[in-house]
Amino acid sequence: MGAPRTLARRLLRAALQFASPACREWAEAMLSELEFIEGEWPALFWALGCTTAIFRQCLLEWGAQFGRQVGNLLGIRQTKEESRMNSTGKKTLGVLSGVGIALALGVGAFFLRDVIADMLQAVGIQRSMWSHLLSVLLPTELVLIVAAVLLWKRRAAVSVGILVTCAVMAIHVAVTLASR
Amino acid sequence: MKLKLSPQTLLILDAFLDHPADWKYGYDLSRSTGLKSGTLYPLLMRLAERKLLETAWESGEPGRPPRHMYRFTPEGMQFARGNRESRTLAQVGQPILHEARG
Repeated sequence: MGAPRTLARRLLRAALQFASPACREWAEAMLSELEFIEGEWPALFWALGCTTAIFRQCLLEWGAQFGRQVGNLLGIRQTKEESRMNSTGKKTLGVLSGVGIALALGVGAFFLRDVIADMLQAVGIQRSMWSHLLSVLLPTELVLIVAAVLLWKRRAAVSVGILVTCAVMAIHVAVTLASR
Repeated sequence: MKLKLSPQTLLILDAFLDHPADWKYGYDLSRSTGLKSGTLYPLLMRLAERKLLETAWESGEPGRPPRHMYRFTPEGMQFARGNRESRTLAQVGQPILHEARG
């Protein structure tokens, strides 16, 4: 047995340990199905997909359980109002996810700014405010806008979160430029 | 029954509809639909949770682990057939509508 299949099996066994009782049977199904997959690398990719699916399911269940416990602690009962709140809660979570995604990309771009500046210097472009703007900020904003447009129909709330963060970043840049 | 019918879910329903009485395995479904395991299993879980699919363990051959298999429940078959019919009707109806509008 090759290294990819061994790794695949270990991954799924680890995921099985974390799996909640509700999806334990599914995790076992994925692990046993691994033995019927031809090829080492397809087996590893299969295991990676399955592990992601198990953890996603676990997160959803933990989230729901946490919500129920908080609801119990606060004495909230299941009513029509709560259903409406759930819908509002989902939208809020979507917007916050969008903000999180945009901030993660922004922070990533911020940490990569020196690498990008070095790469530009290697091709003869000196480090300046404009090179920084065009090579780091502009692509980041473009990526965010494209992501927001693509997500608009399916995940409007996430899209709004991304656009809001994008606008805040753009205003920050405009204010910084104006103050200089 | 409220179920989000994404294109991926429709692929799975169609795969089951081809031979509705047969049990199917996860890997075979992945190959026939082209869906990756990370997409396939959450959808199978959701379909089983809504009682559209039933699951069972096949006793394995000696030296091989038992295999999890899936097939439609009667409700699932009814739901998938109804859905396929409405999709077919929508596809057939579209050109007629265009002609009527044009």
